[in-house]
Amino acid sequence: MPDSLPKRAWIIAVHYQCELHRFLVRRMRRRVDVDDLKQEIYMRLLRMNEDEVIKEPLAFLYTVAANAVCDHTIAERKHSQVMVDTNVIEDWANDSAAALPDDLADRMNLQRQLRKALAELPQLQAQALVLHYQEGLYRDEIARRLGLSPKSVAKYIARGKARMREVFWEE
Amino acid sequence: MDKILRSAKRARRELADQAAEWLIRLEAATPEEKRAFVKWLKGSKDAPDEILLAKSTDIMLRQLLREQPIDLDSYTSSENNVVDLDGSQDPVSQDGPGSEAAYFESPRRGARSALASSAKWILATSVGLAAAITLVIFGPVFLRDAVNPNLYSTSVGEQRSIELVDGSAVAINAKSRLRVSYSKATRDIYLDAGQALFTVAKDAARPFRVHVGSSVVQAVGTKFDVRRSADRVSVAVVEGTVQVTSEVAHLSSEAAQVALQEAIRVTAGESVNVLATGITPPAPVDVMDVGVWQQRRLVFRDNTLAEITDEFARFNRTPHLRVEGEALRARRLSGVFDADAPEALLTYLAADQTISFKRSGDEIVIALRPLTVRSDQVPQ
Repeated sequence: MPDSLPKRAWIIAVHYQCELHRFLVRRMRRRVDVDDLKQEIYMRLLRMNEDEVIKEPLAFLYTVAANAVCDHTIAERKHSQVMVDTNVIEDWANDSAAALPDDLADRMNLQRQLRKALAELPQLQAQALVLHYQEGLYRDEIARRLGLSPKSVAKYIARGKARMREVFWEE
Repeated sequence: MDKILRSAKRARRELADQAAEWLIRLEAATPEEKRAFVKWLKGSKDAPDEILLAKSTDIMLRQLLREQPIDLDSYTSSENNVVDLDGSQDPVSQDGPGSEAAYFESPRRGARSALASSAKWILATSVGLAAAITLVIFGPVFLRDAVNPNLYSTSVGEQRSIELVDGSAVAINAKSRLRVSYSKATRDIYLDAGQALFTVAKDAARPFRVHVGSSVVQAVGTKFDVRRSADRVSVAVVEGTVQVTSEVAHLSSEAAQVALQEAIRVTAGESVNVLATGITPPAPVDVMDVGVWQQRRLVFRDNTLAEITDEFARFNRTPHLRVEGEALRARRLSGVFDADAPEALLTYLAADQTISFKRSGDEIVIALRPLTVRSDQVPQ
């Protein structure tokens, strides 16, 4: 595939997401004060052209947030770094090393929290969650395996995820 | 006051639930749904934040479960057919009735029996896990050497992390090898090749020592990185203090093989190099850079191009980068790179008109362009 403009834009968006996620992971463990940043993201979002946002709302949000994070961290940091990253960031979301905290103790802690939380979920919810995230299955296949309706599966996954959000970000 | 806090928390949770549902709905959303989503997004400054957290949660869940999968065989046959390990035990309800109650306040799947079977299922998985956790920490495949169980090695591009029996953790970089030898009185690690980051569990009675050739890095409870290269051992300390000891061959009495011992204390934020000639004085190091290799990122601060290409070789069998000419090999660069993408280095170098690239098979030869541009016309 040639490096067409939309493709490049997409690569940049993925790259932003990856940086953004790294920031969020750091924030999770270091208790970075993010109120200003939250406000900034919100304000930038409000300023965006509504019609543009509606086309690809998530891509827009990630880009806006990543830009805000980037400006924020650069302002925080005195020296700027040379950053050369590449096309392979497409695979980024599959790269656990990039997606998880770099500190081993933090990662082990997250694994423990995850397992404890799974143990506390209703069985079907936990199963749906594991099938989805670990086995990479989609709703319909999970529904078939667990004998549920795809709608309930979606609901279970959303609930399970909401629980994990509390576990990861609130404790 | 407490009441206000509680209701703020509840509101936030509602937003979180909505965010998680939105992420799913947006996978195939109509223009109307997208419009509704944007409206929701703009409804509160916490809404965008919750979407970001939900998305990150998504990514982390996937990665955590892939790093350390849960055994599905114990229950996939049928949702009612739960492996009953031991009916008398119910670790979940014993262990955390509070959290259970908190989470099940809304009677969703509700039934008590579902809870009990859930607990059993988790018991089934957690028994396996408890065993697994002490040995494998991360990495879907557990590759401890079958012949020598205390030997851990990684190949090109492979990284892994292990937890040792005392709770210390070791992250092992690519192309590395280490042996673990624990006894009642000591915790000894032998780094035979490569690099590792140690997070040492405190145990004042049992010193934690990393042996690298004739050098020893000793710690009590701390976090430090050790790297063995052809000509040096580099030690960088993230937390606490370590003592680096090295035997320096005594030049004047080679026959008697007398060795001088040199020792130096290195504290957090410092690094030293152990060279054949002795230990360099501690130099400041950015602790944020130490261990960044775990993210498969390579951080160079004024390193030579030769060092940089060697580092890429640690992660990539191909393409093999070769730098020609001492002047170019000694050229110093700073930058952050994706370890799996040596191409990025080439792109970076390509900005310099004095450098040329030749590809032959799997090898890329980096050399100075003959003549043409004068070096004073280009930066550096």
